[in-house]
Amino acid sequence: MSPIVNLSRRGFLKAGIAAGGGLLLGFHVPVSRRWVEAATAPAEQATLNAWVRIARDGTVTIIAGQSEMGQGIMTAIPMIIADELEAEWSKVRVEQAPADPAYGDPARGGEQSTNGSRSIRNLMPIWRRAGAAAREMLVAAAAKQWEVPVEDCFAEQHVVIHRPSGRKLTYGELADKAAELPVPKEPKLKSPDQFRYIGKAVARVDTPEKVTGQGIYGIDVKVPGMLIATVQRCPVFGGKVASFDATKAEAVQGVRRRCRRNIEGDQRSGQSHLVQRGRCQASTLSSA
Amino acid sequence: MIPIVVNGKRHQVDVSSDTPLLWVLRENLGLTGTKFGCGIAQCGACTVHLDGKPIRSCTTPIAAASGKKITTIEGLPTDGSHPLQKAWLAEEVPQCGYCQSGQIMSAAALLAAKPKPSDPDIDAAMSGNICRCGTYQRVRRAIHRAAGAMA
Repeated sequence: MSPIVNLSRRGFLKAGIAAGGGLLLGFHVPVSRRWVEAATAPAEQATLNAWVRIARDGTVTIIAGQSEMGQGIMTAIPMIIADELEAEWSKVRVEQAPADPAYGDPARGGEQSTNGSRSIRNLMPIWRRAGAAAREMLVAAAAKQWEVPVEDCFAEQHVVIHRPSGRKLTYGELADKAAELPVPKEPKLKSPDQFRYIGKAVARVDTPEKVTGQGIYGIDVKVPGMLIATVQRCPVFGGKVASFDATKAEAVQGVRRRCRRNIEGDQRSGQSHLVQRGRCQASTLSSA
Repeated sequence: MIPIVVNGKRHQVDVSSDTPLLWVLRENLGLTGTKFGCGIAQCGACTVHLDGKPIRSCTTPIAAASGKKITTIEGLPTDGSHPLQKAWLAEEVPQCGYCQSGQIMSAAALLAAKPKPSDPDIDAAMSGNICRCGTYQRVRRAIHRAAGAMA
């Protein structure tokens, strides 16, 4: 079992104003360039380095730092943050974070992989604080605008309400002002009985693209100059290359190079990597 | 140049006649919804329709597909409004989703041939589509749900 991260060691929250408007909130990381990037990137860009962004139209964008491999993490992260944020689920969007240790799991050396049921266990306290801090800043912004005590205001489903008068301001209206306020160091978290999304069945955000063929997987990505390698695998376990004849492979249209390799098996930390000991007979490299 | 018809659109592709249909779909036409799984017709991830019949595109040479109607997952509505897609959403079938294009194409062919399939019908038709996440029970439920919606 991995230990739960001690939040006091995780550092403090830091906010900035997103170009194009809105509240940008994330956890301070030692490398300040991330915030420079975040502050200069257009708001409509997906790769802002922060956990929460609120646009003027009220759309909440949550950056998911872990990788989706089917465990549902792209839904779970926004559920957790949106819950503490008191965000209306229909106004929440999720974006995949870039590869960056800032989004990683501190208990796993900054890993962004999803494995061992550890993402939620290790990172949930951090995500909850991100949502709660944003919520408190929105409430404070409303109180400031109304010139009323912050204790008289509360957040509920994308709106801040002044309890005595019933006045309301939306998250979209408050986002810019909220971003100028100091980030609460110890935001008050919800009690479990106040959870709206955590522990409930929420439809996964990635299902629509997975039933239409629109989802992009690693194998679907092309980069300039990319070549594709294919391996002629050994049909039996433990086999070795018996012969190597590249004649046929060379005749295939677009083939650049053929090679012969014996690749030893590799088993690490219970995960199987490409395990092939065998023939690479007539394996081909063709242009993409 | 080899002429093919994919999802109702005509294309001319410049490949050798023994190129697998899957490669043409993914590399030449950019239709990446159909996945490469095993390359030897054992897993079903690359399932598409050839004149309405489910086939494994990874082992189907393009020459065998020319002149026939090819339908891929992209040939189903992109807004997910096909009864199977709606059922897949309702049952939250996918986990990682990698095999699901193939699952849905096999299921579509099954329902076209047998609008009210039994559990054994489903198991027989879907047995060539392997799911590493083990979504089989939800696949079966979703097919029944879609069959009910299409009735």
